[in-house]
Order: sequence, then C-alpha cells, then structure tokens
Amino acid sequence: MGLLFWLTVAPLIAAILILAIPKLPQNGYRSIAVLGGVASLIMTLIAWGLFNTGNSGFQLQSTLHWFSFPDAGPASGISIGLNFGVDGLSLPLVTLATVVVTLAMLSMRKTDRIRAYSLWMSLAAAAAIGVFTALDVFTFLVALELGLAAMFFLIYLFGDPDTRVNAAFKFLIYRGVASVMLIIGLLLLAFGVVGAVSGTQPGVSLTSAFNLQFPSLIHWAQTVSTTDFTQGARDAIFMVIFIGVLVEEALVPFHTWLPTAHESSDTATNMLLGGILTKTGAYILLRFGVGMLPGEVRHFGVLIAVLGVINILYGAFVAWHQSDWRRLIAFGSISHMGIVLLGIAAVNSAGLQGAMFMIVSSGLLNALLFYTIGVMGARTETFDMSRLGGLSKQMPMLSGFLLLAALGSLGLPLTSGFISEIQAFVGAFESYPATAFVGVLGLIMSAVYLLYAIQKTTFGPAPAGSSIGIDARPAEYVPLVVLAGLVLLVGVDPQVIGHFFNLSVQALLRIGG
Amino acid sequence: MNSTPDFLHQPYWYTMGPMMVVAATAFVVMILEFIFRSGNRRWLSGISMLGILVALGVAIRFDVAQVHQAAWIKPQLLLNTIAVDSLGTVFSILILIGSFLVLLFTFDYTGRTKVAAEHTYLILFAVVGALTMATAFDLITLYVGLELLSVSSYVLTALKKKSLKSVEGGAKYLVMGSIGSATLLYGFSFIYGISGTTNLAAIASSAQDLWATYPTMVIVAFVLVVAGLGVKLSFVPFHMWTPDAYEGAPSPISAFLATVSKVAGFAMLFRILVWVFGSGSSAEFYWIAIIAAITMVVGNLLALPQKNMKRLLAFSSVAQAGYVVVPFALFGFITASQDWYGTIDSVMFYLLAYTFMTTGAFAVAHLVERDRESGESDALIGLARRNPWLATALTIFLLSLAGMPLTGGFVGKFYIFTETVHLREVWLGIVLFGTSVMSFFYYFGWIRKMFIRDPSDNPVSPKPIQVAPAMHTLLGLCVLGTLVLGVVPAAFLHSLGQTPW
Repeated sequence: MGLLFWLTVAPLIAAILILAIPKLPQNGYRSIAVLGGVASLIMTLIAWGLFNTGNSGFQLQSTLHWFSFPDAGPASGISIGLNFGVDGLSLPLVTLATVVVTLAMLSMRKTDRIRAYSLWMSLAAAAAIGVFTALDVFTFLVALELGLAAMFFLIYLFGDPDTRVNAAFKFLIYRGVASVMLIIGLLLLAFGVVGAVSGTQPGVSLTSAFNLQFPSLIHWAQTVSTTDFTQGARDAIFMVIFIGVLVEEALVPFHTWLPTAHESSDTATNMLLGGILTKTGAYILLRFGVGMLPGEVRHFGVLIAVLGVINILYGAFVAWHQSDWRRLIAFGSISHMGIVLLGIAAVNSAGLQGAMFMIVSSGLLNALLFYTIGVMGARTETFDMSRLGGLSKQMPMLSGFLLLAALGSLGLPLTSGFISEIQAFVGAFESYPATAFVGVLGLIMSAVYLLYAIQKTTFGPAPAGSSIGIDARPAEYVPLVVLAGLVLLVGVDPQVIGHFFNLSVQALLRIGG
Repeated sequence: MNSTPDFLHQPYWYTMGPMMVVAATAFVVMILEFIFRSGNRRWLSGISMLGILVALGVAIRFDVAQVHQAAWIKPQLLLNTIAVDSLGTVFSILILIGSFLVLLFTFDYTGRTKVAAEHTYLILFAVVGALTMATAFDLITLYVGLELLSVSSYVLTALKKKSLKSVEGGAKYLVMGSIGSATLLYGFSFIYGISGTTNLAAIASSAQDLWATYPTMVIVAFVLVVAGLGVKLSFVPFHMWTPDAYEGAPSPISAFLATVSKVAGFAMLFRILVWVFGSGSSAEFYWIAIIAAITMVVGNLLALPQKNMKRLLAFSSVAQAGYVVVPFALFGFITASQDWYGTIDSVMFYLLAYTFMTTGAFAVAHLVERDRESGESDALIGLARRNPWLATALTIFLLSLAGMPLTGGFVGKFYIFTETVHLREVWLGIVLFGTSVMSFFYYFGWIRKMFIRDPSDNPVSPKPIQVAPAMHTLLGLCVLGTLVLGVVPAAFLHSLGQTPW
C-alpha cells in the first residue's frame, strides 16, 4: 500500500469516520470531510515531487491483491487488484481532482443535513480521484459507479427543491447507461487484447494469470495480432466505449442531462460535476481509446473530429441563448469538450497535448465559474441574467474573478484556455484542416456569448428592487484565488503541467504510429 | 481403535446429515407445539434456529477433499438416491443460511402478530424439502423434495387466514404451483419412458443415445420440465402467481419464497439440465437463454409501475432470478471442462448475495408496513428521519440489488458478465446490465422516498419505529453479508475456487 492508495482512500476514510462518529457539532463533520480532501491534496503534492518526468510509464504504483474470480476468464481465474498508479496523463488530472474536491468541500453551504452532505461529498471525492488513479479495470469501474451513486445523492438531497428529482434521475439514467456501456466495452477490450474475443483460445501466451491491470492490457494490446483480435471486433468494442464516453461526457446528442443537473444542483456539487466528473470521459478516451485501440481512433478520426466540431458549435450557440448562468456554463463546458474531441481525433503531439491542457483548463475554469456564480447567486438570490446587472459596483472583486474566468473560457492569452485552444487547433489543422476551420468559428461564438453574459451581469444599471449584496468575504477568497491563480499559472507557463504529460503523449503516439 | 462405528465416519453423513437434523428438529418442534398450546411460544423459533445452525455446522464440515473428483457425472451415492458431492453441499449451505435468516425474521413476527403458530415447523419441513432438492440424485426423490417444499409453502402463504389477500395469494400459488408440479411430473414421465430409469447417473450415461434415438421425446420432456420448474422459480411467462403470493403471505414467508425456495429450485434445475439434457446439442440451451432475457426484461418492466412494496420486491425477485438463469443458459456453450467451474461459482456467489439483500429488503419493508399500517411504498416517506438505521440498511440492500459497487450485487453481476464474455454469449450480459439500468428507476425511487420529509411527522423528534433485537440482528447480518461480499468478496470466492465441482 503506497502513497497513491492512501491518496485515493483518504476521503473514503473521512466518509467512514463521518458515518461512525455520532453527534458532532455541525462544523465537525464538515471539518472531517475537508481534512480528507486536504490529506489527498498534500499527498498529491508529494506525488509531484516523487514523479519522474523522464519516464513515460506508470509510476508510484501501489499494488494490492484484492480477490480473484476463480475459474473465470481465458486462463482459469481473473485476478483483481486494488492497484493504483499514475503516469503523465493521470497525474495532472489527479491534481485537478484533489484541488477541486478540497475547494468544493470548503464551499459546502450551511444546511441542517451537513453530516449527509459531508458523507456523500467525501464518497464522491474518493470516486472522482479513484477514477484517475486506478490501475485496474475493476477498481476503475468501482470508482466510476461509486461516483454515480454519490452524485445522485448530492443532486437529489441538496439540489433545488423544485427540479432536483427530475435532474437526479436524468443524471442517474444517462450516467448509468454510460457506466454500463463502459463496463461492457472495457471488459470486452480486456478479453479482446488477449485474443479471447475473436479466437477460441487466448492468442497471447499468458505468462501470468489473466488480469485487468492497465500495464498488462497495454502490453497485450501491443502484442496481439490482428488475427487473434480482428478488425471487426476492435471496431465494435471501440464504438461501445466511444458511445459510452459521449454519454459520460454529455456530448451532443446525449448532452441533455448536464444542463439540467447543473441548473438543479448547488455550488459545491456543481464544482465537482463541472470540474471533474465531466472530465472522466475524455480521460477514458485517452487511456483506452488512444492508449489501447489507437488504430480505431485513427480509423474513426473523421467521425470523432466532426462530432467534436458539432459540439463546439452547438455548445457555443446554445450557450448564447441561455438566461441562466449555470446552464450557460454547462453548454460552454460541452463546447470545451468538443475541442478535446477534436484534439484527440488529430492523434498528433499537438492535438493530444491540447486535449490534455483543455481537460485541465476546462476543469479549473468550470470550478471557478460555478464558485463565483454560486457566491453571487447566494447574494442576489437569482442566477437569471435578465434579473442581474450592475454587479461590478456592488461586488467589484467577485465581478473581477467572473470576468477572469470568462476570459479564460474564451481563450485569452496568458490564461490556461489560450494554450489549450491553440494546441488543440494546431493539431487538428494538421490532420483535418477543413473540419478544424469550421471549428474555429466556435471560438468567435464563445467570445460573443461570454462577453454578452458578462456585460449583462456586471455592467449596466442594477434592476429595480434588487438587494445590495456584499463583496467576497475573506474565507471566500481561498477558492477564488487558488483557482484563478492556477488558471493564470498554466496560462503563463504551460510547462508547469505540460512537462508531466509531454513524454506520455509521445509514448501514446508511438503506440499509434 | 476408535470405538464409534465406522459408518459415522463416512462422508455421506455430511450431505445427508443436515437434512436429518432439520427433519428431527421439525418433528420435535411439531410435538412441542401440540404440548404447549398457549403462552409465548417464541422459544420454539429459537429451537428451530438452533437446529438450522447445527445442520449448517454439519454441512460446512463436509470435507470436499474426500469426494472423488473424477466422479463428477456419477458421484458417490447414498442409498442410490442422495448424491455426495460439493454441488449439493454448497446449495445446502446456501439454503440453510437463507432459512436461518427467515427463522430470525419469524422470531419477531411470532411475538407480535397473531398468526397460526404452525408456521415454525412448516418452515422446517419446507427446508427439508429444499435440502432434498439440492442433494437428491433421482427424479422421484427430487420430485418428492419439491412437493414437500411446495405443499408447505402453499399453507405458509395462506397462514393469515383472516386476511383476504393472504388466502387469495395462497390459493393462486396452490393452483399455479400444482399445475407446475404436474407439468414437471409429466416431463419426468417422458424421461423415464425413454431411458427406463429415474437415476440421474444412469440417465446421464445414456443421454447421448437418447438424444440420437428419440429427439422429439427429449424436446417434449425438456419443454415440460422447464415450464414446470419455471413456475416454481417464477420465470416469465410463468410468474403470474408471484406478486399475489408475495403480497399476501406473511412477510417472513415472502422472504422464504424469494430466497430459500428459489435457491432450491435452482439446485434442482441444475441437476436436471446438466445430467438429463446437458449432453445433447446446445440448441435447447438457447431457449434457456431466451427465457433468461425475457425474465430480465419483463421482470424489470413490470416492477416499474408497482406501488406496493412487497409486490415490487416480488417483481424485483423475478428480475433477479433472470440474472441467475444467465449462467444456466451458458452451460450449453461450455467446451472446456474447467469452464464449468467458473459458471457454477458465479451462480453460487450471486445466490448468496441475493439471499442477504432480498431478505434484508423484505425485513425493512415489513417493519415499515407494520409501523405505518400501509404496504404502499409511500409509507417509506420520512424513514430517513424516523429511523436512520433502517433507512441506511434499506439503502444498502437496494444499492446492492441495483448492482452498485462495494456491495455483493455488483461483484455478482460482474462475475456473471465475465462468464458471458468468456463463453461468447455477450448479448446476455448486455441484457443483464441494460436491464440493471432499468431497475435504477424503482430502486432509487424507493431511496428517494426515504429522504422526503413527511409533513405529518413532528419535525423535531419524529416518532421512531420500534425494532426488536431479533430484527436488529437480522438486519445486521444482512448488511454485513451484503457489504462483505462486496468489499472482500474473497471471503466466499476463495472457498468457491477451492471447491471441486
């Protein structure tokens, strides 16, 4: 049991403590949850120190045999490990997850059900981190489904009383379908790479017991021959995973659950959902798509790129017409994930790096936007743009952070959005120039909808009868400054995170090459 | 020299021993029941539980190493009718665990509800029947076991004689169950007619010839047997009696029908499918696969609109039975002998997890129903405030039934799914997980209701639900079982892996 094991289970331990200790004062439960998040965050920083950027493989592995399915699978028994590890792709995402999780826990609103809130928040946090640290398909799926259940409770128990039932069940069913497609797709992939889907006997000689660990799967995926794992099987499995990812990511045409969920959830839940949970799909596409079925990503490249552009344009266009800030951010997020798809479809160094930058950048910006809007909404008691205005006079600091987040989202230089969009589009122009050209229109549209929304909210006259709000309180500066600082840091010096995944991206490309 | 007679050291007694212990307990309890006709007779339930525990101890002591491994098709036989094999023993252990939980359930029930006291020994006789179905190796004995279980169950279902629903449920079960038994017996008569024997080993050794010589007869027998057992296991389209019987029966009996009775039915289905029909073509196993798919889809669809808690659990158990039939359908596609092990392991694992989560769900539903005097699922409203422990326990059972991770249900479904991938019938696995998403609607719908604030409750200190110590123990055991199977599945999977089937 190494560092990454404890990093992942720290919020889980916090959850168990919250369940076990009765009758603490309100803030006691919140403190336990926050402590769990902070512990993860500190261990992430230690992991940064220990990480060797000159190594493209999985590092800091902690392996623990969990159990075996006896007599199952192609080689008498499937060994399941509670294994964790990171490579250049997952470490930045683990960092994103721990940062957003800790800040979201700090932003939990006051409620008489703070114990339940802290409990589900901690479980969702462990799941969100576990998705990125897991090194075994079974562990990965456990984290994915745990996140599904925990988010259902967060949306249902603490969401907007009028719409939460609909939102929670929509979330549950869409993400449930996505999880099921991923279970099916990933297990078929695991059986496929040892040649046990197309052929009757494993085509790859299994030296050890059959297992579902990423390093083994990647190794087998590179050695399996096309007769043992036929093109048809690969295509079918890739499509199952890809459609699962589309639903998981809330991409058009499976996107309707995301705006509903964001609109009905409260700030902390929104930060978690927008900051991390909508990024898992892109990670899955990189890890299993580009990492294990690179031929299929190239084969379906046009489809992925076109879907990406559709998402960029559709998300931006629909965001323009939203009057609720949370729905606007949701559609903006869909537009961002379209850029990720476009970058991945390019399958070249610039494209994949752009996709990675965009995942991190979009996560940070979503969290910052939801936090700022949440704080403003708590003061003005509305998220509706038509009922907002002139906030820059009442809340200059909050308005400033909102403006920064919006500028980051539309890709202003010196913010994290800039390097992400540039890299992704440079990659896309190399592979699919015409498609990428259409996609660029989305950048213009994002400037339009974001500046339009900012102008309506922060400038102009305040609507009659609106209450006078106060600016950010000292405690509220913590999430604002941390998130804004990270957005600027990545924007000014992209190599802060870039040097972690440069080598891993090159390694992915070698597989695909 | 050891002074005890040699026959006591035979492994035979470990298979037949549990049956004898339970039967002896049943007779003792029946006689005591006649002697002590008044007063609190809960201690009779206590004696019954003790008997079950002793039987469980005997069954677990069964040393699998003493079984000759090569004798899979023709295991050691006792009196030429009872098989001494690990299959029967593991099924027996599952049945005994389920029976213990049900008896713990009745312990509370007897004390509070005016219900005919005969149910204690009737349950024990039904368990004897179930154990016979798990271990018998002869068509006649299997049928006798089934009838012993069924007849006791008919009476148990109708035990609340003042309740119209209970009587109606009992009558429906009696009619449908009898037709099922008769159909099954009719099927057996064809098997006997073409093979000239009722012994499974003898049938198995001549099965290949029978398939070649009398293909039509075998198919007719197959259809009749599957339909007959399908009634008992409530496969769609033979499930009509299930909701009425489960709703009308006293709650512990509903739990008994859903768990013990089903485990025994699956044991019998296993024996007959594998020994009588296993060596033919795999074509007829496609029909099992289709029944599995229909049962999963229809069971989940019909559960969606249910308002009554026990009716919903009835349809949910129909759907869950569909998941367990999936490995049975896979038997037809096995080519390598080691693949048997994995499929059987997955059946056993899922059945154990299913026993814990279903019994637990019935127990909470029962407590809520008694407290609110309403069996509608709306009675769950406000449960999270009135009794957080009941709400937590029910949430765990429902999450497990829905197949959420860290519960036995998830590991069990995942295991069954890996078998469908391995044996290249992935479509069954896809139906399994696809219908699980359907089940989210009603399982999470219940969870949702528990967290709604009940306006009629006192907001500061709502009236708590009284829970007897026996029920606390039962719920504790069920929660523990569900979570242990999900978090450390090796606790059961490891011994399954060691068991030679």
